[in-house]
Amino acid sequence: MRGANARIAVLLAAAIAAAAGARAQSGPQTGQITVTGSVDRMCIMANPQVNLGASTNIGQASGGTVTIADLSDDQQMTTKSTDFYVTLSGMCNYSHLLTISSDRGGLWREPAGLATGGFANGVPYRATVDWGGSETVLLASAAGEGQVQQTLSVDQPVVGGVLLHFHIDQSATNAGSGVPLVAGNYDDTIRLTLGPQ
Amino acid sequence: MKLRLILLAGLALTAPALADGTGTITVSGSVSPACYFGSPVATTLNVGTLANQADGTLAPITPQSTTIPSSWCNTGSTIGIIASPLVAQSYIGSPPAGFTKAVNYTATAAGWATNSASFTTTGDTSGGGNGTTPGTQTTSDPVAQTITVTVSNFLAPSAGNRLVADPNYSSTITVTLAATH
Amino acid sequence: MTNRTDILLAACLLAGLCGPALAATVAAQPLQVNGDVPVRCKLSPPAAGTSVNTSFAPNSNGGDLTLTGLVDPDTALTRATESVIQIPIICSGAYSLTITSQGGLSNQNASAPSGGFATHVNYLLSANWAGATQSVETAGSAVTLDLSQSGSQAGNLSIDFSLPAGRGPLVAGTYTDEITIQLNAQ
Repeated sequence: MRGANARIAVLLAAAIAAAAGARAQSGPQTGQITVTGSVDRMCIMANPQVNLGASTNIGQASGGTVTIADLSDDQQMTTKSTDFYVTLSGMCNYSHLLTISSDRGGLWREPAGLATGGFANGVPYRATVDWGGSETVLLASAAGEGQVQQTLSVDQPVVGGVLLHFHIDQSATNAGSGVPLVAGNYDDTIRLTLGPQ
Repeated sequence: MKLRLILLAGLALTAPALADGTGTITVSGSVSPACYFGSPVATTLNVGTLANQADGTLAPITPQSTTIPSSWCNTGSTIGIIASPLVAQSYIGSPPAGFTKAVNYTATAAGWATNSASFTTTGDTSGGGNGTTPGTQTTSDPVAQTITVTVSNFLAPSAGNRLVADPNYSSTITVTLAATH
Repeated sequence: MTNRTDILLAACLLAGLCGPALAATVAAQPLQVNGDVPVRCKLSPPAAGTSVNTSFAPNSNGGDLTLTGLVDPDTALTRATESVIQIPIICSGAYSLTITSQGGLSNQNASAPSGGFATHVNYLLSANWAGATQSVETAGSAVTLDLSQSGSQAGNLSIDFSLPAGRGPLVAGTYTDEITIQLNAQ
């Protein structure tokens, strides 16, 4: 139409553009979300249980106390052989260290004092610990009164039972084999811990 | 007088003969099927401490969610979701007996189709053996919705598994939108 | 868009500083082991030491000390007689240790002296133990030496029987006494 004064602007879009830019696509669209969490390093130990059925020369076990029936032989008056077993359940979820220690380094008379000539006042023992497929032995030799300890390094998490075997050799004393023991009460405290390497 | 013609892809205009009378311009265009995936409000869901402090087993984990707003498909579509187990990132090798370094869970994508798309991880104690087929749901009509992704139902591979210590257990959820026609 | 927790976690992972605090050591209930050594005493069979005019034969009750030449046959007066007997003793704690004589050598066949002859003769009893010595002259009635101690001790108890020459003269017959060693744990 000649002479018409018209302005026609035609804008035709070939596609609908996405408001945030050209991200809409005909192909599959994916997005990712990360899920995270954490687990603290931890160790757990239950209370020890004494297996009286497998023990020798044990009078009683209650709570955390084990009482030897008779520490000395009534004929020779020297140390009498003793055995008992303790189990406790434990768990560490990381590489860790098990430590066994003796407060006094042996079963010592309380108070230890000085033994008179011909007598002993200390009884050596050994405590063998099995944990996580490994074993260590604490030698409480009663060479002198004082703390001794032994560690077991475990390079993986472990859940299961700690087995402790306490043993006193017949006639073993701090003054030599077969030496009579001074009368009195003898004691020691054994401690088990789990912790970082 | 100017007659401005703007020619764009997909259009064709036949030049009318300048003559008295009327002319017809046919205009046509097409819209391809397409989908748009919005940005998640949170790209990481931290479920926090995984282990029970009393015994080291898996603790109850509260479900967590994030949303993906402004997602759309201009035609029928399929939403898919697949996830990997939560695995301890620093623990090398297989965990010892009684332990796991992996935690399974269920990831769901809701709000797109009538039913949620869902995927449950099935990793073993090392995180292996997970499924490879995403959970999907299909719509026949265009959708413009906010997608809600939820993680829930956390489980150890075997009951009673203790979790190995690691400050960084991690997994990935992948959500997919695809036009179906 | 990440939340603030995610940003902090990423930051500390990069710095190698994050993760739980170093796990504390966990201890099991301590195991207290105790055992009692009662006071025990043991008295071993005696053995003869020095001997003058005596012979000693140990037996299950202790032993018999025979005075082989109690008197001079010409004068009926006593001859010098001595015997030391060693008894191994061990006590692991406090104990009582006593040595008791019934009072001297008495004639079992005649109860009353006559004609200037005696039917009883006293002797010196000594005991040495743990570095201490006690002595007593018998005098016709029971007498005790007490060598008790409060601590453990091991060694030989020495019992010394000593009869000087020239006592009497003695009526013919058998003269006896009984020395009892009593050891008890306290």
